[in-house]
Amino acid sequence: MSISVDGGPLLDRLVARSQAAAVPLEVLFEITHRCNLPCTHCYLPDHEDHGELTFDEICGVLDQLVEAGTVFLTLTGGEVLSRRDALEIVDAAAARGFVVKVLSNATLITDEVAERFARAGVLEVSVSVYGTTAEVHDRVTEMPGSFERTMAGIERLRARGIRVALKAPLLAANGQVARDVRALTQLQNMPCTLDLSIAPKTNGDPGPIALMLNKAQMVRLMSEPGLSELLIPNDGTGPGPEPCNAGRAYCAIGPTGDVVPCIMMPEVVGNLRTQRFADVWRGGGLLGRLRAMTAESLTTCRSCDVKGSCSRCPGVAMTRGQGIDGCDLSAREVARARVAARHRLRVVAG
Amino acid sequence: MNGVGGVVWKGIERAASVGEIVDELVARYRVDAPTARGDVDRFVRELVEAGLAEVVAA
Repeated sequence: MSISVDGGPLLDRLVARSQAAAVPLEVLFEITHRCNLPCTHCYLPDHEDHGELTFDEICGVLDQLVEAGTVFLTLTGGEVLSRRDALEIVDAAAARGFVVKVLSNATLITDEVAERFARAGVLEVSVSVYGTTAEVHDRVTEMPGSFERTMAGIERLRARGIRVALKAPLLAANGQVARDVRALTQLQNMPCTLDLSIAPKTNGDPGPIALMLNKAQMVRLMSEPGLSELLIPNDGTGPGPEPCNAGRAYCAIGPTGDVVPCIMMPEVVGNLRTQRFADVWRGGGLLGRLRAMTAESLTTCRSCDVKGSCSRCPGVAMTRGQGIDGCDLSAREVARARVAARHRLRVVAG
Repeated sequence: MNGVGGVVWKGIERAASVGEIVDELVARYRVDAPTARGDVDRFVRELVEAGLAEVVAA
């Protein structure tokens, strides 16, 4: 997970200074795990309410984040709008001056919701889309009708001038539509992220991993004009993975107040029902280890033959049993496919 | 890699067509054209299925 608000060099400097000073510049707040879509690849073990923070408790946390120096606040779920007070939470965040981003499946974006988001000044709504037809999209969400509702929600947001960014996880069930998703976003001038790396569930259940595209399928997508620049972001000659912002300038807060270094790194470092955010954030343990990590300390990466092509996530490394400084096996599969795609042979028919 | 494999590989590298590679195999080895064609097609298919190659128009 990384800070993804457009900002260029100025934002880069801000992130660097925040890392150095261990300021939680960006926080991702999962205000609920409840969701109306049972997507096949979801990283959450369940969508139950295990005792969500109340609205007042959330406001208290937001106040503490202001004090801690947080600027960018991303609200996510589950599905954010599964909470009846979701709009009040958005308003509360905006009123405190955060740059607010929302991750949503957009199925519950009514005219009223879009209007409230616009009035609150939500910077961006990031929406997961799994295809450009109901047949493909609904196969992944396992919810008939979800495609139509998601597209309608996106239109309502865009009609009010809210930037919508599409995220398209590419799985064996929908990978073939990557080109269509890309074309759709280009046509409508929407930012688009195609993701080949799938994480296990946060309880370690590897189920979603089996849904990933295989290497040959990835290579074929990476070789397609228009997709290759999205799926192969560099030339592979770089030094390889570096520590990310998790625990350094970024963390995540769960629905019950648990603090984790990243939504993908499910080791709880504190709980905001019983502790102050500042005390949790200052603490050692996993946060201390993350802050001490350097590119050189990622020894497994340093000796890896595809490191220059790897977009490693320490959280996935952890949930796949390799430790926070170990190999992200999902990202390595993608990296291997990138290397193969760069060296792909062309056989002339005839 | 044996000699036949070398001919196929070098042919792909210099962008020879599948037909030209088959012709070269027939000229250099005791193999008839249909057999060579079948073998080369199968090899190319395996490369494509493994994600290592793509077939482009002549």
